[in-house]
Formats: sequence, C-alpha cells, structure tokens
Amino acid sequence: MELLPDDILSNILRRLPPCSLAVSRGVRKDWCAIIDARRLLRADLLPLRLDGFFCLADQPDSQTYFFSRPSTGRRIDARLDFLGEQRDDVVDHCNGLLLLWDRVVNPATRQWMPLSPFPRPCIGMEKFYHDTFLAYDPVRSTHYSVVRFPNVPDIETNIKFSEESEWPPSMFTIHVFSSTEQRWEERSFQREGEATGTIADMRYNDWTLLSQRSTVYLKGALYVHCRNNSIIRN
Amino acid sequence: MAAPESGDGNNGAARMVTLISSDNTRFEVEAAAASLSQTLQLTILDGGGGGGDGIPLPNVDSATLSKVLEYCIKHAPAAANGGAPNATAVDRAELERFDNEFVNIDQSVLYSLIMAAHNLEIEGLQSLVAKKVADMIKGKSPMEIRRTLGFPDPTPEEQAEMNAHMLEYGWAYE
Repeated sequence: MELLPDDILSNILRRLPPCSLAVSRGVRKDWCAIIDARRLLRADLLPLRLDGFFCLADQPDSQTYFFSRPSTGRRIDARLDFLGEQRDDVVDHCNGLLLLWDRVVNPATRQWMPLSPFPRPCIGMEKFYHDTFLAYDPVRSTHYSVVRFPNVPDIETNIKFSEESEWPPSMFTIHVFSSTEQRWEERSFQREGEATGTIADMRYNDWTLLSQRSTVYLKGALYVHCRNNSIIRN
Repeated sequence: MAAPESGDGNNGAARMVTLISSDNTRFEVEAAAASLSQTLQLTILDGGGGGGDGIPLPNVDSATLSKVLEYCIKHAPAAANGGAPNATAVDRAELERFDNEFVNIDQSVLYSLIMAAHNLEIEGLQSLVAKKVADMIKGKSPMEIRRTLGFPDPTPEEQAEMNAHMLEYGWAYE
C-alpha cells in the first residue's frame, strides 16, 4: 500500500485497540509520530501483565511475601538480597516498586533511590502517627511519589484536636516526596464532600490495629482506607 | 388518482447527474446516489451535473469511480431514509453483506478507494475502507504489518529506532 495522507492514516489507526496501536508505533517512524502527536494511544487502557504480587505482612516483625511463577521468582529478587546489610522492612508496595523506610527499590532492576529524611510533621499534628505510602503507576508515568499521611493516634495520646473535630479536617497539609523533585514538599488539600467522621471515630484502642492501612493507587489518585472503614481519596 | 409528490418535487422521476472520470469516461447516476459525496452534494443542489454538462472529477479514474458509484447506489436508499431508522433487520444484514464483499478486493484497488472516498468525502465509504485497513493491522507484529501493507523492510538504523519506540509500551507485545 502506498503512503496515505496523515488524516486518512490517523482515521485508520484510531480504530485500533490500544494493544495494536502500541505495536503500530513500531511499524514506521511516521506512524509513531502520528500516534504520538494525535494522542491516539490511550496507554491507560493497555492491559498490564501480572508477573506476580507482593503480600505485605500486617505485623511489624513479619516478612514480605512475593507470589509468582518460579521463572519470574528467579528473575526478581523479592527478598532484596542485593541490598545486603541495608535490607530493611518493606513499608509499602505499588505496581512493582517497594518502599523501605529510607528508600524506594525496584526488585526487578535491582535499583534503588534514597528518600531524604522524613520532614517534621505539620503544625498541630506533631503527636499524630504518619503512614507512608507509595504511589506509582508505570502506565501514567515513570515517576513515583511517596506520601506521608497522618493517622489519628491511640486514645492514650494527647493531641491538639478535640474528640468531636471532623476528620479529615476541611483543610490539611501532607508531605509528598516526588522522584522528579527529589525532596519532600508540602501539599495542601481541601476536603471535597463530607468528613468521614470525627477524631473519636478514628482513635485506636487496640495496638494490633495500629499496623499499616491499605491504599490503592488508581488513575492518579491515592485511595486510603481509614479506621472507620471510610476511604479518603487524594 | 394522482400519485403523491415525492419530497424533492420532481414528480417521481429520479433526477440524473453525469460524472466525468479523470480518463474522460461519463457516468450517469441518480442525483441521490451521487449526493452521498459531500463534495458533490453542493454542486448538485445548485443544479450542476445535469444535461450535457457533467461534473469533472480529475482525481478519480473510471475503474475507481465505477466502484465508488456501486457503493453509492447501494447505500442511497438507506441514506435517503436518514440512516434508515426503520430499515428491517434483513435490509441491514444485506447492506452489511454487501459492504464485506465490497472491500474484499486487491490492495491497489483498496488504496484508490481510500483516496477517492477521502476526496469525495463519502462518510460511510471512508469508515468502511478505514475499518478494512484497521482489520488488516489488528493482532499483527510490526514486521507482519509492514509485509501485509507492502512497506519496504527498515534499514538496520531505522530498526534500531523502531525498537526504542517499541520498548516504551513493551508489555503490550505478546
């Protein structure tokens, strides 16, 4: 087939499913240019292949498990032996990256990047606990963020909030470490919608519930599972 | 008893227009069929193409034009019905069968049709041929796509560059 004008070619290519479009970028230079310039490829619709998954133990002293086929397991050093002495507990994981206390690790490429020391908590939240979450989606970007999210402490701890205060507050600030900036930055959030509850609802009275909360990072938003079974979206 | 007048007010006798291909062959067709082309529609509405005049189409040869008109004549009744909302399932199935058969053609003919559908702005035909080419691409590797469409093999330098592009969404390849 002779070469088609851009408009016609784009009219053809836009009918392809995401997988075929990704493949078509490798056919010719001009095809690739058109697909990219006209943003025909919805990369977020490309199916990601699941090679394995991490299971984070919910007790501070237990291990992280990696489930996969043996062939994948040989390729990916999920025990992080390549870190040697610097190996530490896994705090969180997200789409193939692992967050340790002081670094983000890619067990497939065996590369790691240090985090800078955690920032001081925001004013008024000095006594709060802080959970650290990893947000990474290779379909959207090769960059990741680490989020320090305040967690209302147990009832023994005195805090500068009354028990009836709304949680989360209508305005609050959290710290985010982005791999592009390589430093912690403050991000302010304005709450949309109702508070999920009050400070009292969030109070812990059982040590075993103090472990890491679950998060899901989906389409650029981090969903945090809260104490009273509500979800906060960042 | 007088037959009711048809909407275009020409007492039932279909108005004909003449189209002239690049190699000077004259085609006489119903105005309704030729009007599937957005490009021709205005000229025809202005009263062009009738009598001995004819509308010259310098970009379309007679073989291609004959094929294009085959499509237009088949699709004109449904198009006149405003996309045929009350067409029966049988009518629709028949058009679909016709369309599938229609694009089951040699690639050089398909290419001429793509260009003609584009130049004449025949929306249904543009979709039909674009879908046909998309179907030829779907599910193939870059090399298979190149072979299917008759593109020359890339030079080693081009291949290296292509490989880099392909790495970006590598997981989509299976």
